[in-house]
Amino acid sequence: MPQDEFPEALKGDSELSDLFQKYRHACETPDASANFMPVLWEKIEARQSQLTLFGRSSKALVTCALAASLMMGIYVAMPGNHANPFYTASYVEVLAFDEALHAVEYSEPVHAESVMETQDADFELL
Amino acid sequence: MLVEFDLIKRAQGGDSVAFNQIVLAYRKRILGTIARLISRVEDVEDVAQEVFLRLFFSLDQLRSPEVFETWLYRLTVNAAYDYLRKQRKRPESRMSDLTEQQVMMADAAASGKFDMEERRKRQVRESVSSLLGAVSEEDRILLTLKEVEGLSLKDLEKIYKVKENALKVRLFRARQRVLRAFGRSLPG
Repeated sequence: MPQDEFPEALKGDSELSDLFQKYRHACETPDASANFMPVLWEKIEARQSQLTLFGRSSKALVTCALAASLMMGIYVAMPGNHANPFYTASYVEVLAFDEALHAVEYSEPVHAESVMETQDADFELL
Repeated sequence: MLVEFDLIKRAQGGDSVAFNQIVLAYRKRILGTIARLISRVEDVEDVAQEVFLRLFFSLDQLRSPEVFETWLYRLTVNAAYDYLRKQRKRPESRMSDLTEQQVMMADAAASGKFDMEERRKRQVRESVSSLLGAVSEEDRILLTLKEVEGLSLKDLEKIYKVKENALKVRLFRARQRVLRAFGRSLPG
């Protein structure tokens, strides 16, 4: 940095403001070249074509995904593809089948009182 | 406002002639602002084109034409910020980076053909550029907009979407950092 003009001037805030003002006057606004507008429109068109390409790719991808989903749906819905019989039964049917396997015979619970009564009756008979 | 609201609405509707007129109206102002923000003459036009490119693709998001200038300033600041961040990675200036005009100017300066006024201006540009180069891009842009561009705190509030008091604090700290950076650059 050139030190001959500013070292003393930059000791305070106001001096910094003065330097910025000098900078404003020292920076001349450059004129736009003759190519400014053509180059700008070239850039806009290039970006547009990029966006269009991206949009087309996205649409193609979505279409492929939909087609794949549809084909998988058709494949699953086809009756010949259900080789495993387990999957043919509905959830309720499977539950009912499972219940039947684990079902036990009905038995009356033994009550202590009734046993005692029976024993007493037997004793009296004796 | 340099253009009518109607022109902005037409450009928003996809009218390329209206968009062209907007660019022509604001081109000079944007070039000047960018020149002061980035201080590399050869890249000013490129950054300005990036600003108008972003404007073209974001114009439909502008809700009201009344805030068009603030919107454009924000795009300018963002483009300059992106540029400065890229430049931060390669801060050294090489001869191959200079335009033909700059090389001629450098030669002329070296051979003493420049007059005193031009030399003084160049010295100021180099000094401030060096000072601002020592602080962050955020500080550099904020200080340039306030101190060089002369934007009010109200304007900055709209551009940055930050409260005035917060901006004052940021400005104060940025100034302190610039002054400290200058202090560090002094010998001894």
